[in-house]
Amino acid sequence: MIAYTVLLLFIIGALGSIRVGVKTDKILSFVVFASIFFTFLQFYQAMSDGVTHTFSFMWNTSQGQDLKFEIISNSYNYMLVFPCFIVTVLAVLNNFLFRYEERRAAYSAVLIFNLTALILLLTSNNFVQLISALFVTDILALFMIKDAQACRRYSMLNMMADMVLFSVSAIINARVDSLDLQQIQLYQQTALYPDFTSLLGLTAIFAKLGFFMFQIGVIGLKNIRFHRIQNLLFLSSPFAALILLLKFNALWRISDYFTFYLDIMCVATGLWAFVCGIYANDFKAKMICLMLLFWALMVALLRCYGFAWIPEFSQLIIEMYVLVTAFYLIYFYNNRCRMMTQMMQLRLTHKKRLASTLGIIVLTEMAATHTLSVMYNNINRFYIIGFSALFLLVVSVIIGQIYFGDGKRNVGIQHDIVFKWGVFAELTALCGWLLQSAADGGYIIWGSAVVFIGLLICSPLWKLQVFYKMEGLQHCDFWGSFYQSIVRVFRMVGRVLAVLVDFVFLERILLVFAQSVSISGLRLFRRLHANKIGGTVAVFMVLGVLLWYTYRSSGGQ
Amino acid sequence: MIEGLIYFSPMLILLIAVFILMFGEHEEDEQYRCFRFSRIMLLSSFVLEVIFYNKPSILTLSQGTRFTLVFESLLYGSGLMLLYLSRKWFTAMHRQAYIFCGCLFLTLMFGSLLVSSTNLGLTVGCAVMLMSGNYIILRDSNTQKDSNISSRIYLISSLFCALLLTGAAVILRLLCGSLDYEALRMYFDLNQSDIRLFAAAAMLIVPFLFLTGLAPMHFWLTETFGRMMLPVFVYFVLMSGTGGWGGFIHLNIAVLAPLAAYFKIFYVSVALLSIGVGAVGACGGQNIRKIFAYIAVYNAGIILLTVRRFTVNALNAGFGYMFTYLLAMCGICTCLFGLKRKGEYLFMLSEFEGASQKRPYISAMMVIFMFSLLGLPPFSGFLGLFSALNYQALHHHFYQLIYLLIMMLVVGYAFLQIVRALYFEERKTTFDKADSGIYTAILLNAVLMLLIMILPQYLTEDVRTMLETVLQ
Amino acid sequence: MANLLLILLIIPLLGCLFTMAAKKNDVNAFYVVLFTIASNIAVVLRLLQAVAANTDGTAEYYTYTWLKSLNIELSFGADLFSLLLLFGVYMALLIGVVGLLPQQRKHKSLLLLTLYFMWNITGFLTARDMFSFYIFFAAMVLPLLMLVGMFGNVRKVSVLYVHFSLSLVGALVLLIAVLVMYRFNHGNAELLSVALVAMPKYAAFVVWVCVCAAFLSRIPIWPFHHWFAAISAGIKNPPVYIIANLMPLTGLYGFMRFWQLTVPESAEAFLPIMTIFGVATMLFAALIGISHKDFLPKLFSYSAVYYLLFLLCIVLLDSQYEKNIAYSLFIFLIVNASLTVLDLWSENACAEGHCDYRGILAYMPKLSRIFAFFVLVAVGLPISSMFWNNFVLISALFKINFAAGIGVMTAITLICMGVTYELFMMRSLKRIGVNVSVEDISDRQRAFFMAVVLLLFLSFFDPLWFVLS
Repeated sequence: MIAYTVLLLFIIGALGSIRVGVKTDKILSFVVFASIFFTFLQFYQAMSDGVTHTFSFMWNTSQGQDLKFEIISNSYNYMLVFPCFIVTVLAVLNNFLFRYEERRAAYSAVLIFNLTALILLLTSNNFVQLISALFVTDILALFMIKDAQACRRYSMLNMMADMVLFSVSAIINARVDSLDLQQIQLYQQTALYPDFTSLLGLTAIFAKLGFFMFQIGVIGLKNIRFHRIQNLLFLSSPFAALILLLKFNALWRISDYFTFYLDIMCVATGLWAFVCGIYANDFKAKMICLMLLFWALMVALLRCYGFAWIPEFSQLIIEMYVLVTAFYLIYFYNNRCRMMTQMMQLRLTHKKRLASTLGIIVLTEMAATHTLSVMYNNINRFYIIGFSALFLLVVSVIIGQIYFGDGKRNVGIQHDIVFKWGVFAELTALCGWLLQSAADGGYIIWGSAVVFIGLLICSPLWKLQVFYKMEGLQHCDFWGSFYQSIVRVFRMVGRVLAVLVDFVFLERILLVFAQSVSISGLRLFRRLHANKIGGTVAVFMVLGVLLWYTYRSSGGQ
Repeated sequence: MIEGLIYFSPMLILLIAVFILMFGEHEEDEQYRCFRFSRIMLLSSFVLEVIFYNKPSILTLSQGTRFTLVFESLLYGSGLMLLYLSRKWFTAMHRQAYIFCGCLFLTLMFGSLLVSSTNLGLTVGCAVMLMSGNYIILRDSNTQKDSNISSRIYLISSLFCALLLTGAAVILRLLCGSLDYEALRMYFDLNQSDIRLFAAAAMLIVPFLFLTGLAPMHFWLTETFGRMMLPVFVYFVLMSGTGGWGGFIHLNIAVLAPLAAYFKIFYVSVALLSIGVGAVGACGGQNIRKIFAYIAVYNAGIILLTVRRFTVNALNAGFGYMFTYLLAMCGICTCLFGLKRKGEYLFMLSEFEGASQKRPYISAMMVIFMFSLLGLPPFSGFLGLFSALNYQALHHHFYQLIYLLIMMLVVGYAFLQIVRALYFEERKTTFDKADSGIYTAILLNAVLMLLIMILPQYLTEDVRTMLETVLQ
Repeated sequence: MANLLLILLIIPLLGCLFTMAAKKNDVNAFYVVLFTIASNIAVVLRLLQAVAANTDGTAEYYTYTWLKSLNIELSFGADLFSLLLLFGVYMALLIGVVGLLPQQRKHKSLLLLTLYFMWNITGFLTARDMFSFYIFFAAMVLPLLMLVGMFGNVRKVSVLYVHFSLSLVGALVLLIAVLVMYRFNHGNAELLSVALVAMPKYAAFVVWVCVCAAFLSRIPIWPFHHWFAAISAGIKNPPVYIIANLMPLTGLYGFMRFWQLTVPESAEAFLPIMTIFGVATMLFAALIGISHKDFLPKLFSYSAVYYLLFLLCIVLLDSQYEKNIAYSLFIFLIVNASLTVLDLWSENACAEGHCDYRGILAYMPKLSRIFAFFVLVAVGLPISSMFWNNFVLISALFKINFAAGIGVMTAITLICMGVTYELFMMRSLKRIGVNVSVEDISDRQRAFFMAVVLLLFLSFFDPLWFVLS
């Protein structure tokens, strides 16, 4: 069934890629949405029915290793595909509703192709298909970003991570002699440098997730359009990295340092995202920090669940998507003004719009609380409580400052921005669907809602808006400078090597030496060949000596 | 008697031509008639030589064989080419060509006799006459002060060589009682360890080194070439050495073979020295003719290194090399005839700068001929080089092989300078239009090279058969 | 089929004749060259079809008795490996010739030498015995020298001398090896069996030192890489740049053929040295590559790194990886040539538009898209068969030598990031001048490159999709 879905998605993607005029584009983007929505319904039906099927064909063969292209439909894969599918459907819908892209159908097509790649990644059973799908996802991410300047760091980091994962896969394949992902377990027995391989791979995953030390890639995305950031952070590298984390889980376990390393990275990322989420003046940067906080929590929880995907993870992703879309609405109602200092006191002009959005945010928070409460246990309670607290604080600061804070108005703000009924309806419906299962949630859900609203109104962290005026802090790019300096060191080493080894040694020493030797030789030669009669006599004498020597050495007496 | 006279007719024709050209009365500006006459005489002599090559002539001191025919063909071929090309120079320069043509015939005649001689007296006489011819041609062509010095050096050296040859002949006559090759061979066979014989043999060999331009007897060759007139340059490069080589090889096979072991090291030393001197000398030159003069020394060294055992295989390999070398050199000389400025033929490298922009075909062919001379495939020179190198490899002379290849690299550097001047530098002056004859000659040369490369069996296998017959 | 091999060798020579006969200062010669290359591509495709159809993997042969008395028969043959390389080389040359600017298309000597080089490399890649192999190996020295000297803008003559000397040394030492082998084999030897020629130990050592030196002199391994880089630095003429960068292929192919069956004991001693030098040069080249600020030097470093990767694969891995190397090299050749041409076009556009090189692609959207595709293929993303084959090769390298594998991957990662970074810089609008009028590529050029893109992309699904069976 998943294979069938992939085929349909491919066709829809191709349909969306057709270049059409502006008017037709509106229709086409709707057709694309409708098509993917119906495909999703079909998929959902199949998932509910538990249809199992394996689509496979021989792709390539080399050195006794058969490379198969496989799409395996089973309940676990359905579960994995579900969140990205639904998020893609919502992204396509939002793309249609917000009408911000010049070529909406084409952008939707990119999202659909991305979903296809993600499905191939999810259902893959061998390294090559896995890495191929991963690379395709990264290529499509470039189409989503569409801004060479903004995506430079993100792409470079991702590429580095991809190359590392490529190497790790090649190492495993070399040791276990199999492309099968299941065979990673065997690697433990034959591994040459298990810690090195495992931690290297894990570092690549962290780089793709944009975790601490690698956050410059995702933070650099703040200069692109909001919905693109949203789609990238939900559907591209971070989600792909999460899948890789699952697929390679047997590899991570090989190293004894794995748990420690993962925990440290999650906590560091969470703390960094929290701090950045508080002090950043840029609204999009705050959203990215929120997302990082979320992915850190997801990774930590996945580790706690032994890298087994459960439906609650899918639910959390959808809830997060709804929350970010609600923030997008706020951003939209604020005429896409991105600075927090200029977004404050928005309530004065857009009361109804903001109130409705706030309602959605609160509902989402309740749904998320319910999901987390279901997942809560002794192993993960530290993460759930800690990360939830950090998350709530950041969200409350953002909402509180926009809704109740004091600040300058954006001078150019429009007063007549349309109310996005479509989006509102979509989000409300989603909240309703999410809260459906939370009906019996009890006091925890309501309690969290009260706490959240309380934090919104009287958050002590509001005062931290003084950070927004600190230009140095706002423009501080420590990690960017750090990487720049590493690159500079590499460049310097390259230049020094080029000068020392190539220029000084080869050109200035070796070549000059050879030249001077030949020049001296030629000078001597010319002197010998001076046009003098005495030279002729000398030649005859030399000949005589040579002949005498020849005669004696040949046994003559 | 009449039959013998008929069989001697090729030489007679040459002799008559020499007399007419050198001692007859001629009007000025008759270059065309002179060359036409020379061409006819040369062709007729060549045809008759081919027909009667192995017939006993009245000159009983010489005997033609297939081997002599091979060398004679080379000599005649080179002579024809020289006549064809030189006419253009003499016509352009409005100079008398009688002495030049006469000397050419002299060389042809004595070169042929040298190759087919069966008597040491005749050999000595021919060698002395060859040197005399060379001197006359040098003297006739001298216009510059430094050239005069060169011709004087040549005169002293050739006088010394003549003395050596005469001395050797006298010693051998006194010791053996006959100058006949067969008698001498038998005498050498019986008295190998006699130092007097060794001295006589050495006295015979040294003048031939001089004639063939081998180091260290190369001074005259390289130093006189600098500003020498082009036809004379071509004469020395193509003809003088070829005759010398024929005589030298024949002498070694027919007479000196019993002493081969004594001269082994000597020949190798001279060959390696020539290769080294030729290669290094070519690198340091700014005068294109001097460069090619050194290249001639280098090639002579390779030929000696290859033929030094004087076996069928060695001679076969040596001949292969010599033939391809002559072919390539012939091509280069033709190209030099095609590149001139305001009627003046060029000799300094700087004068050739940018020639490819104005004379692309001639420049391209010159590069091809040079690379053929270097022995790079796919040009015919590779075949010659392969013959020579393969012979070294067959006899496990790996160090000599490596030395040879290093020197090839040095020669490559020299050629690169010429290529650079022709192609990589900007043109500063103009070049005269070359006539169609030059292009025809180049084309013929190229076709010959191509044929040899595609069908090398004519060069290697047929010559081998000839050599086997003779040496048996 | 044997006749097809002969045709393959004759067509470039005929092309040379027609080019020579073409009018001066006209584009006739250009079309002759295009037609010649296209014809040879057609013949190669037909041969590929025939070879692919042979289930037992046999190749096509053509022999010519050259010197009977010396027991030398020149033998030509084509297997999948050589045909794929030939196809790659022809495509590279075609791309290079298409990349010529209008005024460059009138250079008869350039076009003639390109065809002459094409003839040489055709002979070289189809040679089956050591003599024909040597003949074409050495013959390439002349066109390379002439092309680089005439159209390479080499600023220092000494660089040209050293480069020429290196090529010549390579040819000469190979000649020594060939002669020694000929001596001990009592005749010519098939390339497949050169490793089996029985020789005394010292002779075998000399032969393999010569063989390694000959081929290494054509590969940008330290210390030879500097001269390759110095030569390539000034070349702004697409076919010349491509031809200069095809020379390492001849060294690689040499190793492939001489090393193929069994590595004799005498040659095994060189393996560790070659591995160390290879990996060290890869890292070195990658570091130098990222220190450069222009695309072309980076591309040169990239090609150096990849050539060395292939070298390591050839000498370290066994012959069962031959196909993977061929597939990967095939894509590599085309991508390298395409990127060269595209970069030279953009450089030319910069010169005409008087604008900054960085950011130029933002004004040339058509070129930019194609450029980006080729860069992504070059860095090994799964849009061509290079991805899968590189995976297999690198995996095998890891299997044999873990440290070497790590070194190789580090170098590849560094240089790929360098190349990608440069792509971003070229697409980035920030650095470009304000009033810029740059002409994008024409529809014809775009169509041509789209065809190349298609060729590469479809190879991802089947590396031999173009072979109709």
